[in-house]
Amino acid sequence: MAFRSLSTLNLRRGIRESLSLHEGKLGSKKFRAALFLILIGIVGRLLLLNLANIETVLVASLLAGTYLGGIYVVIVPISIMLSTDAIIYVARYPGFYPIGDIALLALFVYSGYMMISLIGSATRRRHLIFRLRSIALLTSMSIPLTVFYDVWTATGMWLTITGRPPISQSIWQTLGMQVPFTLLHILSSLIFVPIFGTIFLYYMSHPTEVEAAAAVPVRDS
Amino acid sequence: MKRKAARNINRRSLLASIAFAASLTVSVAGVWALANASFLQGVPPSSEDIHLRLKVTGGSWSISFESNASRNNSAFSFLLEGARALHFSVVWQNWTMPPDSVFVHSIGGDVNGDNGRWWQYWIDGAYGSVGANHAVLNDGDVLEWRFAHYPP
Repeated sequence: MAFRSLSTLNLRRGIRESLSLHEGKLGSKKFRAALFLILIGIVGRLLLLNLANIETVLVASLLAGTYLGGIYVVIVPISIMLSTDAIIYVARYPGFYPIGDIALLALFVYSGYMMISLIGSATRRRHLIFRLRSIALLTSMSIPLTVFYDVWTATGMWLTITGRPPISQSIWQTLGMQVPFTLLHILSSLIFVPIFGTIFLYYMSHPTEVEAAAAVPVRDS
Repeated sequence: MKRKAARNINRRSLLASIAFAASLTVSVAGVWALANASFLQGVPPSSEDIHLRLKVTGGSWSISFESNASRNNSAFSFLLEGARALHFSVVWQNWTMPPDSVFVHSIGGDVNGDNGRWWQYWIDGAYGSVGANHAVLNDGDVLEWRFAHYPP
């Protein structure tokens, strides 16, 4: 009886230790995954800068919210936007619109990506399983989220620029002019969400050798 | 038995993957066609001759041009017609990926950003809020390009 109790105790401790080790590894894996998302966001945004609304920040924000959660909901979109804005505005922004208007518009853009991440986080899937259904679901989810993001930022555009002189459009005119750009944005999501979603889910759902070893419970001899 | 079940699952997965890839391809093509066909092309040339006037006001100069038989019925194409007729330079950037649009960088040597001024256009006194090659000119319109601060 005493032997069995000791054995059970050791088994439990072993499982607890290995699980905490696994969580630690998962934590660092999450960190690496977040770095990957930040990287695709930054590289994609800079490389595709001349293509209207074709971008990778939305997919990075969506994946961060849906599969990483926690602090990454904020860190991933904000890191991408801050670092790329620093490059874009210092190196190549021509300066047509006043900087105050651009700063106000940036609030809508930043909060838009954060909201995408938060909505992803609210629908967070508990198990990371690499399968077609997850990718299809993610892709389907990205379409209404893209429309939502565009309506939000177009509203910001109207408040800061197009609704004011000399343009003085109505909100409906601004939203109407947004339509072709939203179509391009949906196109961007339809292309990038499956590509990066597949890579990301594959990475997150496949344990490394160290993680697999750590997940095996330790038994007393 | 197990092998047969596994084979069925593999076949089902393969079919689902093909169906997903196919529906994705159709969606991408459909959205692209819709965006490209309905909204993103510049103004096609007019099929009839129209009467248009152009005024260009630079940093320290201005120029006027008039045509009674123009078919260049966009704010950009009529500017180019004026430039060809009066021999002043226009430098612009094409955005060939949608939207098919142009951004005018300089006219007559006045370059965007000089002293915080930028090239902007008005049609019959109304500020242009779309790419110049998307802004339609109608018979009798007055097109004005001004090198001015924003907001003007």
